[in-house]
Amino acid sequence: MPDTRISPAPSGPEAHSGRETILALCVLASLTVIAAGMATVQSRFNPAVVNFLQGAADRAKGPAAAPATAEPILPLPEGMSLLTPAERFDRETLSDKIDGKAELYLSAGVIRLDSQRLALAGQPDLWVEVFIYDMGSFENAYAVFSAQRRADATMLDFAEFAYRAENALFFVHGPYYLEMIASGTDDRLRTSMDALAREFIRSRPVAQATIAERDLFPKPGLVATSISLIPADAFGVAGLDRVFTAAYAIAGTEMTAFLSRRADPQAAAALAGAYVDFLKTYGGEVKASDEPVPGGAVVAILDMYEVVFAEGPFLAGVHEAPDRDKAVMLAKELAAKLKEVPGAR
Amino acid sequence: MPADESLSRREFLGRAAKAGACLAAAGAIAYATHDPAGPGPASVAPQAAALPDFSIPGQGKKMCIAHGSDRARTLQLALQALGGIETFIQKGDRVLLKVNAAFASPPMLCATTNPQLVAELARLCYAAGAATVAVTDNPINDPASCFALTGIGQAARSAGADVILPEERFFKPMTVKGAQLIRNWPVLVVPLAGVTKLIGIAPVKDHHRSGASMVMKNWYGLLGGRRNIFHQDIQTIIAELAGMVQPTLVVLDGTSTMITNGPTGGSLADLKETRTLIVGTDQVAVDAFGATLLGKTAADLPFIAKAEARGAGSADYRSLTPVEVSA
Repeated sequence: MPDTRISPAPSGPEAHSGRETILALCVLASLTVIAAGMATVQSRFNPAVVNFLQGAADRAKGPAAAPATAEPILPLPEGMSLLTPAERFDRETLSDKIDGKAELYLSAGVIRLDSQRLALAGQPDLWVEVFIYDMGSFENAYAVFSAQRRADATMLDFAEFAYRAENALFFVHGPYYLEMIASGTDDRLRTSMDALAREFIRSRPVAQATIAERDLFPKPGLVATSISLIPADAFGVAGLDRVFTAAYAIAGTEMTAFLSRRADPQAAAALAGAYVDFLKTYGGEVKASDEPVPGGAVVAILDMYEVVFAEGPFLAGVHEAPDRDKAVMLAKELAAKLKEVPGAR
Repeated sequence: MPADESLSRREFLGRAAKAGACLAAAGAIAYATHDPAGPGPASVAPQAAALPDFSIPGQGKKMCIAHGSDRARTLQLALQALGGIETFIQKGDRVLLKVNAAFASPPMLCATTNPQLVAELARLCYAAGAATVAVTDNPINDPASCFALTGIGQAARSAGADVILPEERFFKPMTVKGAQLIRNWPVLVVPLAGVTKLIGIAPVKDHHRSGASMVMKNWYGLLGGRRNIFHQDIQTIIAELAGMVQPTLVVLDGTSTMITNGPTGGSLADLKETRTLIVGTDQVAVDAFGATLLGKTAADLPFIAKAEARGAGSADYRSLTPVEVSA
């Protein structure tokens, strides 16, 4: 039998191995160049692709997921009739209704919006647009209510958080935040909005809920209607979420107190430290000896003072105070109130 | 030492056959998944050309700040101070008024362009000899409802202007030179066909996302598609829009300014009587002044500096030495 085996390259194993190494490196270098090219192209976000893909998905889905219906979104009081079909928007489509304001609701956890225009019977020019936001929780509903509270509002008694403006009515009912916006300031529209609100409350029983944090702000100097809940990015700080704020006017000095319940004391202390670091990044100065409450800090920044501390599971402090001593005094009062919270220590 | 590296003919043929099978399988998969038509008609539709430059050559940058509560009167005064409507509109012009009809809300809320202002501007354009005047926008809400409930539709028609409601066929994909966001994006170009003069008219509003909505943000209503994705980078999209549109004139209505809860507002309590109307040829300068009606400065609104950097105008409105008049 003749020998049919194919001989290896004549230049020897070492030379063979060297060529393979060079070839392998060339291949790897080529792959690296291709990968870099792909990464570069991918990093140049082209919104038109998203638009096309979304359009294709919408076409594949057929008609809109939540078509307008002729059913009323809440019981109609006598003398009112439907002017337009009901519309429903979810987190994906909310901006199709309220544009840039959707961000406020999204950050507060909105689930859906139902809206509809209703008119006084036989008078299509006198109408009310009703917006029912399902916010998922009483606290979330309070967040969007408090963020938009109008000045000079008339408080109403049919809900804990309800007020009337000249042409509109706003209130919280359980996890729902409602806006009723009228086409004018006619008294008949005002009466109709009241009736609609009462019908809605009657038709949607909800569990009693309270927001305990509201009672933790010291009373002296407190502007009673100013307590708000910032759902996210409070004071421009990423991660500083679910922060209650309250305006104070103390001997002619205006400032804001804040508090936020965190998971545990360690988390509160860590967030307080992170907030102080954030302020330092933007030029804030802290004196090591300046400790308004144990573990707290006073930060001088942009001709104002920030007091930051942790008390049990609470991050708290005073924001944008023009007077250091008054800020520290308010911070001490706030710390004392937080100490009284059962289980806070 | 390596083992014997020699290869038998049988082994060589076997390995070659496997390699060939792999290549054939890869080719078959590629052939089966290849889409010769590409991603569909939307992405291969012919691109619209860049929008024409509607500014008037040699006109220079002009701006007037008119104070008063009667919008028709302040508009007249401002235009007179800039040389009269005839400075901008000539006989035979085909004029398009780009209004803000974003929401189906009543005019008293000032979330949309005031209908009285639309009617007066259309009337003035016709008085200057315009052949046609049309009004358009691609609203956030249902277009027919928006033009009806804002009063803009009725006001425009009463002054003899046409109202152009957006239809899908009116949009063509467009790419703005140097833009990061407006690339192959549907733009409302058909109503602009044959137009010789373009005027933007917008109210001054707070905006939860961008800080303010004024004349540059008003061009957002020329975009189609799922434009809400641009909210993630709203400062850039406003600047790109300013680079996309070179208007003849812009009118910024700060008679009543929505100082909070924008851009929708909802309550009369969101408004402040600022009794100011700004008319100008430099949209960046007009917005820079408009910021002051919101208690802000141009530096508070990043889109103003970005638009200036794109060459859309000057953020220093004082450099235009604006004329001030009072009704």
